[in-house]
Amino acid sequence: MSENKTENKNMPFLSIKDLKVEYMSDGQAVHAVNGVSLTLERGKTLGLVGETGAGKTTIAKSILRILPDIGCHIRQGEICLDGDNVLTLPEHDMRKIRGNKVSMIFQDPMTALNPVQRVGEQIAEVVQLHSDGKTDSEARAKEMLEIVGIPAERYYEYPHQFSGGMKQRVVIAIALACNPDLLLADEPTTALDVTIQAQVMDLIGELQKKYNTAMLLITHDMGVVAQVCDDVAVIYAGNIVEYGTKEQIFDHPSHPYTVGLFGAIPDMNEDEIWLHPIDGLPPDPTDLPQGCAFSPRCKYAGEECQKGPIAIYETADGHHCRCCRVDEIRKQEG
Amino acid sequence: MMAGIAEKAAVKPHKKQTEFARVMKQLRKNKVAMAGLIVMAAECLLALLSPWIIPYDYTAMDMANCLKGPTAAHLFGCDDMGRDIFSRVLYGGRFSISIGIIAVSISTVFGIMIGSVAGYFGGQVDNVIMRLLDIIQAIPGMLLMIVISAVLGPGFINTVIALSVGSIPGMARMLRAQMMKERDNEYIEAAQSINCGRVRIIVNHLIPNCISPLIVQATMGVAQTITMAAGLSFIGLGVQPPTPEWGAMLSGSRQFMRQAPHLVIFPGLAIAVTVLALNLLGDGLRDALDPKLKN
Repeated sequence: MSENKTENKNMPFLSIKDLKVEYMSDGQAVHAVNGVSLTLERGKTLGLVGETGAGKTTIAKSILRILPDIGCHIRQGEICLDGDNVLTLPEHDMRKIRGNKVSMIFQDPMTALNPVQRVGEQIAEVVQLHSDGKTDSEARAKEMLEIVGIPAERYYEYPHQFSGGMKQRVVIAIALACNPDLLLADEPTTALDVTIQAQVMDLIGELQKKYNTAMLLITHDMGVVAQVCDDVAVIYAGNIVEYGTKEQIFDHPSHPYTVGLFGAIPDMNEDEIWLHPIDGLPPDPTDLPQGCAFSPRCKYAGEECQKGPIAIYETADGHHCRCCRVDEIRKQEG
Repeated sequence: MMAGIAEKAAVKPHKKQTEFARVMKQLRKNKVAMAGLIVMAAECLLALLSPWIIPYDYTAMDMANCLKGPTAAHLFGCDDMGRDIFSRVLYGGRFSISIGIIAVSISTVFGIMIGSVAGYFGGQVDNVIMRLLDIIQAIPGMLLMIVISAVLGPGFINTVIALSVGSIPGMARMLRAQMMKERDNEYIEAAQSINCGRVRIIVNHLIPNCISPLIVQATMGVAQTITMAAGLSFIGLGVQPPTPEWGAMLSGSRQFMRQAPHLVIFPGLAIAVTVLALNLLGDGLRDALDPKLKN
């Protein structure tokens, strides 16, 4: 393993190549993730943006290999973490990764904590599972509580005695208890109100900086993306449609879907009566269109869009876009 | 920073209490459940101490006092063979209560094991286990008990086995249903993501969340099992005379019900009080065990 590491010194910390995941449902294959490739460096934050059901969470769960056993298959691809392909690692080695090297913050703090276990014990559990037996897991759990801004005395309380924001802090404490190298944050603020959202994001950002943790932030909130991300990947129907730095995506959205997403954000400076949604619905994942998955909803779609799989083009340095008419669209839009 | 927190933690150890202490504290708030607990504790104590406190030998016959009603000498009167019913009821508690508790413990343990495997893994595993349980459940409970005790022969342990087998499927099914509901919760995924193994998830995370209906079912099951044991004794399987098992006493004296109702009343009362106390305790326990209901 050490050989591997020196060999892969130049490789990015996390790289996903051509990941395809399918769920089986009533005999039909649901194509949840269709050939996603992305990279992430230590200490950086990559935002995965897309609507519900686009496959964002499935990507995160694939990294930890915690997809459901029944009816879910990783069809192809590789996920390299620090030079090791986690998809082929034996279960024994995965144990050192889950919760320790890579950990996950869940979307809904109301259900992500075990209701009949004391919160402190839940934090201590992850420490115990990954310690050599010498670490005092209780002390570490109390320390983590303090770090996320909860008094250590509340170690012995149950989740129902905490408010939503505090529960999310506990979830974050669990995720960070073992100083992970990679944090998978699955919509960490969706279930929280706006003021608590800001606090939680600040907290995550602070801790991330402190421990140089890489973060994969799954969200559909563009505001959160603007606040914390370095890079952004826009996901549509299980595929990346646009990929670039935050500045590239926000200043020069190229893919019609990204443009539509930004168009859907109401302008605070103007009196808008109508919101501007993207017309239509995401495609049925059991029956994806032949060509560009977005073509049925795209006002620029032409014949070539429906023919076959669309390649991803590099439109600027590091800015990728999966649209075969991107140049024409840019000209049209000016 | 770490040292400071460690100190703080050391200063406030009093907040920690064991799970048992917490449940007891909750239970104490519930007067009715406490009454149930006290009655049960008293009954168990009396049953345990009965060899030393009963006024007469439970097998000693006194033909002169056949079917005699309650008197100062014989508090509960005497049965058809002149045996002191008070002594027999006290001593009989040993058998009745322990049959109930042991049989239910066995069926609960097996029910939990089978139900959790079926409920957690689902799919084919679940299918196979459930169909096997269906076979057991397809046989009427009483018939199954009779068959098992007829095969194993009478006696205390065999009666316990016969009584427990029939209630395993019910327990297993109940746990499985709870398990299926709980296993899709996000905290189970969260447990997976911090590297909990399957056994740990089932034992530490799922079972504590699924167990409360089982506890209620079990405490009430003890009551039910005591009456079922009575049924077995009635047809001569179960615990053998002259062992004073409550059910056996009840069924043995049914032909004297008209002339000497006290023969039925006292063992019947013993069963009724035990059943009531257990039911009250079961309800209180369920509330006390569930930290969500704490107020």
